[in-house]
Amino acid sequence: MSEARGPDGEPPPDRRATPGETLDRETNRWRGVNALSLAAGALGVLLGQPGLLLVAVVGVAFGAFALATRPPDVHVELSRELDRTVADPDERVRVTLTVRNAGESLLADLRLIDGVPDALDVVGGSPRTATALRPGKAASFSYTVRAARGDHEFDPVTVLARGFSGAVERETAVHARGDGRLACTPRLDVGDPLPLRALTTGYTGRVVTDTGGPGTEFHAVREYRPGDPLSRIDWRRAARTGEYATLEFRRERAATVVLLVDTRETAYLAPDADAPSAVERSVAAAGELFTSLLSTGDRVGLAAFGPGAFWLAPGAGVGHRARARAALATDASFAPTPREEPFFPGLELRRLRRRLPADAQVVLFSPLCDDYVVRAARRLDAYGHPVTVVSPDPTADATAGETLARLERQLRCSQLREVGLRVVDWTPGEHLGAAVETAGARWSG
Amino acid sequence: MTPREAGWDRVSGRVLFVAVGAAAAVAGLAVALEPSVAAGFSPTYVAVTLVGGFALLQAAGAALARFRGERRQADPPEVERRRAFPTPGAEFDERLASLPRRIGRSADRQRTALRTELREVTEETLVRYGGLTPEEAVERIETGTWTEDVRAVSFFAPGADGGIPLTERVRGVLGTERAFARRARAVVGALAAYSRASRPTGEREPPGGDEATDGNRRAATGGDE
Amino acid sequence: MSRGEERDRGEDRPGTTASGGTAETPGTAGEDGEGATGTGRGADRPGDDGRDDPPGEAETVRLDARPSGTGTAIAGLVGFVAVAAQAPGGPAVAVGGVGLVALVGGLRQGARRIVSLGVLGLLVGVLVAGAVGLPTELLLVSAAASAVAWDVADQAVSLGEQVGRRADTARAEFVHAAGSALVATVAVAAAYLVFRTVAGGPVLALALLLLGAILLASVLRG
Repeated sequence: MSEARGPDGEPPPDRRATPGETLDRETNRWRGVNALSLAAGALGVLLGQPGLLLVAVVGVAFGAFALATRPPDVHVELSRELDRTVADPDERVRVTLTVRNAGESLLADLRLIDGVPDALDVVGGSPRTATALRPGKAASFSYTVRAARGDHEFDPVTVLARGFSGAVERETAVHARGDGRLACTPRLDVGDPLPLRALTTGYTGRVVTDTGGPGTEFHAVREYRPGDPLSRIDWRRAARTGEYATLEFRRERAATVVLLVDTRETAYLAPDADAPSAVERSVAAAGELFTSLLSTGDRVGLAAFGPGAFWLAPGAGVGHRARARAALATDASFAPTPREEPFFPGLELRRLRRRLPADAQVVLFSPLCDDYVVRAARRLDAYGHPVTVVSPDPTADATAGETLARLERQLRCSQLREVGLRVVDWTPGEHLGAAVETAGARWSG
Repeated sequence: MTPREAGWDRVSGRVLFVAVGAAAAVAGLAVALEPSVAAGFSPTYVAVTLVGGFALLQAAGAALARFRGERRQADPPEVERRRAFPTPGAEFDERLASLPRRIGRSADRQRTALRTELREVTEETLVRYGGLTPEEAVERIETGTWTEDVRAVSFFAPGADGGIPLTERVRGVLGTERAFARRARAVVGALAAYSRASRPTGEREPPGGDEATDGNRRAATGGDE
Repeated sequence: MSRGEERDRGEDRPGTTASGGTAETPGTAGEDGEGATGTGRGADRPGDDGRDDPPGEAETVRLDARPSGTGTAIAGLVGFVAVAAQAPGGPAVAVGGVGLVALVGGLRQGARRIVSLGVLGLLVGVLVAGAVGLPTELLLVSAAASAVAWDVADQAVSLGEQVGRRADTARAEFVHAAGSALVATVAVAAAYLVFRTVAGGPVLALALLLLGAILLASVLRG
């Protein structure tokens, strides 16, 4: 086991041990006891009070006690139990941690802090405990977390141990056996259907058809040509003017849409500590839109613009929907906390361009809080993939910097609209459908 | 006492302690075994008093050192809450707050960088929300006619700041917040007011349901609502 | 060991299902973090025992970094003993009394500085009591109790900072207090033994002997 030292020979308080490593810190909690014994002895001599000299003896005894500066030998076995390992969002999951002293000496002062995953909140009990364990004995404690979307892995438990005197503290990290993952997969159900026509350019072509039915609408009248179906002749005009004309109907062609979620580290922003991050809102919106588009017969794909670069080619069907749901819930590319891997935006943009079907349009989910994403959106649009941007707003206006960031974001929205991209500015707490409608009103107004 | 205790406990002090302690122990034994030795030794008491006083001073010093609180223990992270993500704009506030107070190259560089960034945002805001051309925007910034807030105006055009009242200037000299930061905040406030007062111009109608053909995009006529 | 099915959460008693080894006697660490050891825990928010909250109603808990009620109680009790033993000394008890008040007040707030100040007050009170001539037996008791109070208070503050008030720390606090009480008892016994042995001899001899021992002990073992 290696020991790590800080600048003055001791690890700083916020340095954490890695599993297998021990960090020893001297607590100095008895500092001054010898000095006080000295004071008592000195006073006793000066004032001729033998009682104080005896007080000094007591002090020296405690001073000797305080010299037990050998850190305790920490051998513990930890096991964790979750009352469920698959949960729905907002469900309560109870976590029980059991610690056993697997060493041969008494652990007089043992403190444990469980490694609750980054993206989970504790809503009941405490993930920490302090106990004293004889060799072979065990103790356990529990707490409750609230499940949230994602595939959550528990971190190693921080173990802090001291002897009876408490003069030295030893820190280690121990992996707990047993349940270490909690998976939470939200359903992709849609409440109200989204006004999709505003979001996608459904009419990608004029096709004359003699079939009626949903999705067709009157488009134009043209001169009658021999061979046109009789059901398409404009009989009213013929009755009026005696000329034959053919009605043209237009059918909506199924669109090919790729939902692209901005999952770069710079996209993980939130207006305050309790609000969902922009990525979280983007993922939820992508799920809703995926389902809505599939239900109207469009072919939908899913991609992540960020580390991991998830790609699901446009398709349709129940299996396809299930794949998308699983990916949005637990794939590492859409994780609730940013990934540490490097990401090369230029490379990824090129790769994306190669993968996009020629007739695909893109719906980009991004908070629009940096300039690169604006360039990327414009480039994709210029490549021939109409881009619509759904932008969850993570800005606030409590300070000058936040106000400035809000303003800059508005300018970016404006820049994109200027070149013809559609931008849905989605404020926190607003229902996505309402935001799309509001934005849609200015498009086809 | 550990070697890391600050200040008073130096090696020389320890040597002194050992010497005095040894002498005292020997003397104590002598007196205990031969009480007559102590009879004519009242100066010993003076010496003991001195040692006692010195010890008291040491004790006081150690007590103070303890009270300064050099206790060390692990500071584990707060695992109870999920990770909190930054709010956009936090770095800007950080940069404003950490501007060095002294005049110097690095301070100038930081100020220039901030000024340039704010300038770009101001120009773009004036163009988009105010309907000005870029040249007009630049001119208004330089002449200080883009807003009525004199502090915001003076951020870009120091010469046009004749309107800053004396109280403001005095506060600028005496106050803790640097004038630069205060003026920068005024600029942001003015821009926010500007953007609230008007809507962006120049945004085109995106191709809607009607006229698009395969991949061709035609911009509809007209710009705003 | 994955569990997909729902289990009634209210019936899980982790103290009885500890895997590997026998569980510690319940009543302390064997229960969940809310453990009811009945020592004035207080300040628990209603409805957040985590078992049967309706979704959306429970708040995220935050670390309450104050010492637990148990630790505060033990430190207060021991500190009271220290001050009470000085009672025959008359006004000298004032310093100790102020120290005790600061100690308990600081512990309830979780303010480390005030707790340090309180401990210092207790200790200075002992010195003052000895200076005015409190009987040796009472003085020794007071000194030992002050030292134990120092230990327990620091332990409570440290536990509060690292483990928090919501967690169940009673067992750790009691074991630790027992340890330092043992040391205190041994120390008092040793001091009393010395007192009885040397009593009657010239004060100067005793003084020099002890002073020498103290200085040597402080330096050599440090």
